Amino acid sequence: MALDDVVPATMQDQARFEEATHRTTRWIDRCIAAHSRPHEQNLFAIIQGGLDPALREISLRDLVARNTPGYAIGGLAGGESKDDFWRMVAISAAGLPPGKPRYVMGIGYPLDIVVCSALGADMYDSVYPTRTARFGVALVPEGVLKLKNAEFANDFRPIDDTCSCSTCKDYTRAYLHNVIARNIPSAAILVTHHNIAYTQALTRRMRQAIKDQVFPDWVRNYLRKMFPKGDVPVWVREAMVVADIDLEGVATMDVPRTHKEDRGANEDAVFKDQKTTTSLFESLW
Amino acid sequence: MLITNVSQQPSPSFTLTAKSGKARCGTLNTVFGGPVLTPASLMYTRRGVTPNLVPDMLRRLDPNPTAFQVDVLHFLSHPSPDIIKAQGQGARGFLSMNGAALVLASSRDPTLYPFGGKPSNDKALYCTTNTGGMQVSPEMYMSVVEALQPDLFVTMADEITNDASKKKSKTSVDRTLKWLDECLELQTNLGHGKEQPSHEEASVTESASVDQTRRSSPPCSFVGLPLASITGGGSVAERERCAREAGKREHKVAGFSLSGFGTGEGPGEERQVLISTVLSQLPESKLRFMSGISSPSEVLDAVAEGIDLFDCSFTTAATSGGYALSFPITRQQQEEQLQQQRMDDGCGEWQAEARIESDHLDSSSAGTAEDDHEEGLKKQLPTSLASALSEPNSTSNTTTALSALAVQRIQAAASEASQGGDLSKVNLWSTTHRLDKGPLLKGCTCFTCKKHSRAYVQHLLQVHEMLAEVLLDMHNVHHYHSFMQQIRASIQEGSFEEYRQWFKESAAAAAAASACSSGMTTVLADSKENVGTRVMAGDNNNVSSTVATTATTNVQAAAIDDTAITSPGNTADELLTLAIAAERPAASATSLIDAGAARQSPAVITYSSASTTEMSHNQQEQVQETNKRARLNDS
Repeated sequence: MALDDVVPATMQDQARFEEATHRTTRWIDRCIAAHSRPHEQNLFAIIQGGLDPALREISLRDLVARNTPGYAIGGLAGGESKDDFWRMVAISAAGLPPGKPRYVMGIGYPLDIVVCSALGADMYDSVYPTRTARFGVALVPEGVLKLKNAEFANDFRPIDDTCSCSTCKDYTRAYLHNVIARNIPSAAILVTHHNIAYTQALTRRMRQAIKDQVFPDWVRNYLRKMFPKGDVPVWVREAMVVADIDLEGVATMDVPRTHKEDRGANEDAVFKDQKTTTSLFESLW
Repeated sequence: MLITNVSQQPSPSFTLTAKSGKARCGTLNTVFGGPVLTPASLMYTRRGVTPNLVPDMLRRLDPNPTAFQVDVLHFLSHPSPDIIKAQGQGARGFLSMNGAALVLASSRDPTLYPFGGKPSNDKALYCTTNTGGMQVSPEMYMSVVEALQPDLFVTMADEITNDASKKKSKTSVDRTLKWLDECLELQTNLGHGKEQPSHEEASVTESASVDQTRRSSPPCSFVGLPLASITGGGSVAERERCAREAGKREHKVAGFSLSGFGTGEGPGEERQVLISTVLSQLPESKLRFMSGISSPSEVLDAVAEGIDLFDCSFTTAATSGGYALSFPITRQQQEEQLQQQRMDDGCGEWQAEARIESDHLDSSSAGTAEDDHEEGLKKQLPTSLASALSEPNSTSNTTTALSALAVQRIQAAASEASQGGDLSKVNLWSTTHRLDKGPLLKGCTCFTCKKHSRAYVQHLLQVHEMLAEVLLDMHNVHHYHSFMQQIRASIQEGSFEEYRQWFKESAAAAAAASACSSGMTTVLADSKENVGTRVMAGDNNNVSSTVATTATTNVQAAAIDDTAITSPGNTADELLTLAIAAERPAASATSLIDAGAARQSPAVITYSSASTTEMSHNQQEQVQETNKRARLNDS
């Protein structure tokens, strides 16, 4: 990855975002000039622009012109609202050339990976699966299992009966509940194994579904399993519209927008009234 | 020799296969596991799991550890025995130890001491668990044992420390014998009236989604074989009484468990007397398990008396300290190690920096890299000591010259000491390993030494990554189990006593070398230049200078070493004597000091003027004091 100028997505300083966008462009030129092994290593440019569609478009236009072997979508996974997040990913993916990899940096929640893939992204990285494992949280199709909870004290099923990792083969939830987070590294290692295996299996299944031309069905099944009551969050519904995946029969329950999804809001929102600049995206609809 | 099982199962067995003195080799067969060769060390588990190594890592160890110790007291609550019973497959099922050759449930976690917080009484043992203090009755205890279904279990003992009063020792024996009988009775009751399928017929109790490839686990009604606990603290009479009484139950038990060791008794004669007193009352053919002892020299001493099984805290302690065990297991390894040490000396960062500094000040160092190494080595040893060690003493008939091996040792120890380790363990925290691409221990064939470097493990420790402990544990368990393997081999060959003597002398000499070198290192640290005569402190009787005192303190600290049998408080001279004695039994300490005195006063410390200015005012005062006293002694 090139060295980019990344601004925390929650920052409210528009000028800073603008500066970062243009600086990132200047720096990709310097990186390209300094890169001495272009035939052995792939130097990816990183799209910036914060949460402003206009800046994103500028970054896209400038960096695509540099014609790097692949592109990363940066400046996200920093506490911004889900609404802004998926929109920026959608805009970025739409503006990138189809034949090159799109790498969304810092994305690791399984649901986020699915949504971003539906919007046209290819690669992800995150500490989430391994870090959450060390805290005793296991990833499953239905969401997460907080193994420290008392409900697992005598649950003798494996973490995930669709998983073929060594932890699910040999250990039960009750056992892991017993040893997790008591300063026993092995326990953290066992759950880590599972979470990595789960995340790898997730992407493997998506690839297969795409190859088999049944990806929309696969996504619908995935969401049904995760939201059996039909309470698919609003941001996912809206993203699926753009991804052209029909959620009829899946998103059956009316759900309110949570404060996290409010346009322009963020997790530690201070200036709730301050909206982003006119969204290109919005204007298209 | 078969051991009859109360439930008339196809019997597990313990067979003696070789003897060398009182040390013995044996083969232990359990109903659900493969054979275990003794003397053996059990893998430590905490709440049923090996702290750093998950099963696929254990499988990569060679020798492959298949014998595990679980602690009854870890399963009194969270999980309670009811939960383990609900799953129905005992420790092997619940803890996924299906591949284990032996699961032994003992009552003592060797890495901590949970007893004595409050007094026990005749009805219950007081212990501290992770959920707090608990009074544990034999019923509760056996309830956990029943749930765990181990191959062997230790009967509940009133654990006391070695320094307990005579009265307390007597009470502990009375209680332990009472609880022994109660545990045996509870065991009979638990197994009573339930069907006991044979090994071939043992069926798996199905739970929600049990993997079909799991090995057969014991059915609910199977309970393991007891090892009768023997207490008595430091009282020989009480130990004898307990052993004698426990011995009377020999037909109801698979063997015996020596408890209360590693609680303050002297590791030499004092402990040996207690062990031999106990074992003299017990039948030879039965298994002997000992808890609380796991450092190599101490294990050798216990094996020499006739112990078969040990629990282990040694590897866990080494790993959590960031150490890679490096004590030589065979004579050949020792020679190779010392050779290697000499070759590697001066390659470390610090040595390089030190050489650059001293080279800068010393105009004569313009030689090749090899010469620089030699120079570096020489500069680490005070010249007068080096010469004192190698020249014959004109005033006595016997030479006090140390062999090349001893000098090598001291130099090697000096090198290790400067990195915070010694000849038995490498300190991977030391930044001198930052650039070392070599293995933790040259010649080691473990997973870590084959795939990773000292530099990598050093890095992992620095950034607080869990992987550091995983890799260290892989090495330490491998090294330690190779040591156990060597013990068994030497018993088979009939040369165990020889091996034990060699190992202990070698360890003592290593400790002495460490002591010498760390003493020297302290003195040398006072000044950047190694100019003039600088010798370790004082004569036999009068350790007078402050610098000398510091050296002795270090010596005392170094003497309390895991692998040493020297008792703490030896002066530098006594330890030097040991080093000499290890090589040349005829030498004596006095003659060594006399040798030094013949040339110059050993306590005179002179510094060049250049370095004096760099020392603090305090240090300068100390030096002047030392010199003043030394001159007084001279006259």
